[in-house]
Amino acid sequence: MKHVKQNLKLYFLTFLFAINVVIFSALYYITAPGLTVAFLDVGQGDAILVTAPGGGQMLVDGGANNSVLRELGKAMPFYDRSIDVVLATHADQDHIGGLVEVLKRFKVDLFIRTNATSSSAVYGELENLIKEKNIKEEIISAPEILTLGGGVEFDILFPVQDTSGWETNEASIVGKLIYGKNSFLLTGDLPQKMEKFLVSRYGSFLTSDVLKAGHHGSKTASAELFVAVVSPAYSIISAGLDNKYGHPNQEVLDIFARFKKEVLQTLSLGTIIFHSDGQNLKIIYD
Amino acid sequence: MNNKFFYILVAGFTLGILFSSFLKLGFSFFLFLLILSVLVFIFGYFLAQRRSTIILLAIFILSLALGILRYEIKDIHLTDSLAPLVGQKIILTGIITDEPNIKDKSAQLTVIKETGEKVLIMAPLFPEFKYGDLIEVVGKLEKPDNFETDNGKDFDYIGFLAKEDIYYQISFAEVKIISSGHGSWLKEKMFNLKNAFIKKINFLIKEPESSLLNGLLLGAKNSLGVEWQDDFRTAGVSHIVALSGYNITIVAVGIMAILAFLPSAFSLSFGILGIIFFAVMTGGTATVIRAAIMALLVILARQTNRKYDITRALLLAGTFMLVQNPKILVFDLSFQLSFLATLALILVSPLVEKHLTFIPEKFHLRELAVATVATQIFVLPFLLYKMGLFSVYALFANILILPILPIVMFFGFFTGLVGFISTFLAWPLAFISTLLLSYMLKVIAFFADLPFSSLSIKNFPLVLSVLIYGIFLVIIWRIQKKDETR
Repeated sequence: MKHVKQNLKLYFLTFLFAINVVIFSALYYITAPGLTVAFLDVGQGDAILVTAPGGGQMLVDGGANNSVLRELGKAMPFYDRSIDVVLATHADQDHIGGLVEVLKRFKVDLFIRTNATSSSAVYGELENLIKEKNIKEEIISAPEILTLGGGVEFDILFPVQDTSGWETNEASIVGKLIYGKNSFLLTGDLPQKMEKFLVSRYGSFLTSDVLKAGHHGSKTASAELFVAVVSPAYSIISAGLDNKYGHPNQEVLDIFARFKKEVLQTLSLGTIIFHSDGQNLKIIYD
Repeated sequence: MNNKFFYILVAGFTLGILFSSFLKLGFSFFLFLLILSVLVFIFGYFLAQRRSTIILLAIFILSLALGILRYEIKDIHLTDSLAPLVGQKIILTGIITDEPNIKDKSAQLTVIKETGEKVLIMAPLFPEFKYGDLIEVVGKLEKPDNFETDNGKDFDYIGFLAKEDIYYQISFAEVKIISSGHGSWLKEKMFNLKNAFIKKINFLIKEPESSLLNGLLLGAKNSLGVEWQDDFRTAGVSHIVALSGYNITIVAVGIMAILAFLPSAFSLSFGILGIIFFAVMTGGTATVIRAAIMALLVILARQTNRKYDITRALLLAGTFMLVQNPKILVFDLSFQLSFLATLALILVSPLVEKHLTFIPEKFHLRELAVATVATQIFVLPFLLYKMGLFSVYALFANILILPILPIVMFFGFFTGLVGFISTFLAWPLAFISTLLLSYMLKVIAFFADLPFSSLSIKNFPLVLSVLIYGIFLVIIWRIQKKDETR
């Protein structure tokens, strides 16, 4: 016991120092200006973490497996154990596989999905967990606007009707993230047929700085017309190394090349982080 | 005479198992050695000169034979009804007999059939499987294959599974849970407790720090992911997340250090209680119990200073473990590392300590440095043979990490414990744990990323490591003899 007493001062000082570190880092994160959009490197699959200037967070999809947890660990401050909104664009494994553990480990306020459900075991587990944890659910069957705080909004453009019984990819939630002059278009795995519908319904409103290329660069998405209308400065392809589907498809890469658009791939760059002050975009590679 | 007798018995038995593990010796070879030992004994008994030496030789041959016999009859109780079905798509019903091994992309299940045969199943992550579930598996039955590790070292996967009586596997299986709760009541409760604890940790601490902590406390390392596991190997610290006698020893020593102000009998009792509690927490599997027994021996050695008795006790314990399952000698890394590390802590630590007197004793700093250096040196020849990888900076990485290991385990453990009472109260503890764990990960990543951090030595022969250990033992023996005569 004696040596404990002797070192009491030291322990106390260490404790105070530790508290200081927390407070200052918390202040830094809360007051950090601007919008951050991180396309997390989760291998073959999508996971996008959006952090609004006020600290509001939204996770769009969770990748195929638990690797999303490590990426979230890197992208979020360590004391932050909550995510305001989790959105599952559609019910496929490579978009919701990691969400089960996310819901277990983080406090989540709102879960957004469509009615195009799946009979898979993962989806069942996810539904159980949402019920068990009493997480508020919102089912998208019409366009709506979600505000994330700090002047950031997420315009959900699709689906525009109830999608019960639809093929899951075709019912992907499509949203445009807008902060000042910067915008990001997230399309899940939406196929070309539905891209055409988006073009006819929204026209030039689709134009964005960053496009997350649909379906991991598969040729089922990213039709020439759609890419032309969105006209992104950057396109993100979120695919894994040596994936069994051969994503991204060369034809799709050719389309982006024709428009002289910069294509960034998580499989070669790892996690890709965009930072926006409402005027300009800055890219940080992790 | 008594001493010699014991050592020869242990050495012969162990060598018998060692030979059997690599060569197919068969039952007839046992008979041959048995008869040989009898002949030698008779010959020695009637030979007046050097009688005792010849009799010892007979005992050695006999124990060799017994080692071979034990290995040969290991699987005699197993039925084998699955052999004709290999290569076919089968439907199998059975009970999950061990904790599912959850990896990034799949869950590994050990399933036991009614016939007592075990099959390893690679199942999807969902639905969530647990110990004691009755499941129906559909898939192609295969025999496991040996493979080459990333370092180009052949890995005896067949032997690795055989030590758990697993001879078949089904990859890419479709699995359905029929019902739950078919395991032993006690084990189920213990796993539930452990999983509730892991859940709390995961909720309070971010990845990958939480995975590291779960690995340190409970030996659950797979959730670290392949990249981190590679980094751990390269930096030469993967032993900290493998459940071994070393971690358990640290828990006990930590408890005893905190309670050092009490009479030594009390602190020792609490240390022992700590080890038992830890073994229960981690699921009480054979691996854990083996590690716990060795940890008990280490703290007894520290407390009593009776090095020779403890060394003999360790050999005896090791031999009993081999009697119980002879396949662990060659195929169980945890047993091998636990045993070597324990031996190092008992025999090598006192020798190393003399050369590290410049390290201050404050906060048990010297003690930990001594333990680190001793175990690192002693385990190295074995690791070179086993892993085919020489981690150049292992000593530095370990010295930077191991001293804070007891502190991390202490805070981590209480983070989980207090988490059961209140998330709010556990938060400051979680914060301290996270800082310490991040520091460990930073050190590991730093050393793993340095140039030439590991050298691949593909064919480090077993004979060479055995030779080095022989030299080690001679050196230890001579130094001790010198000290005694002084």
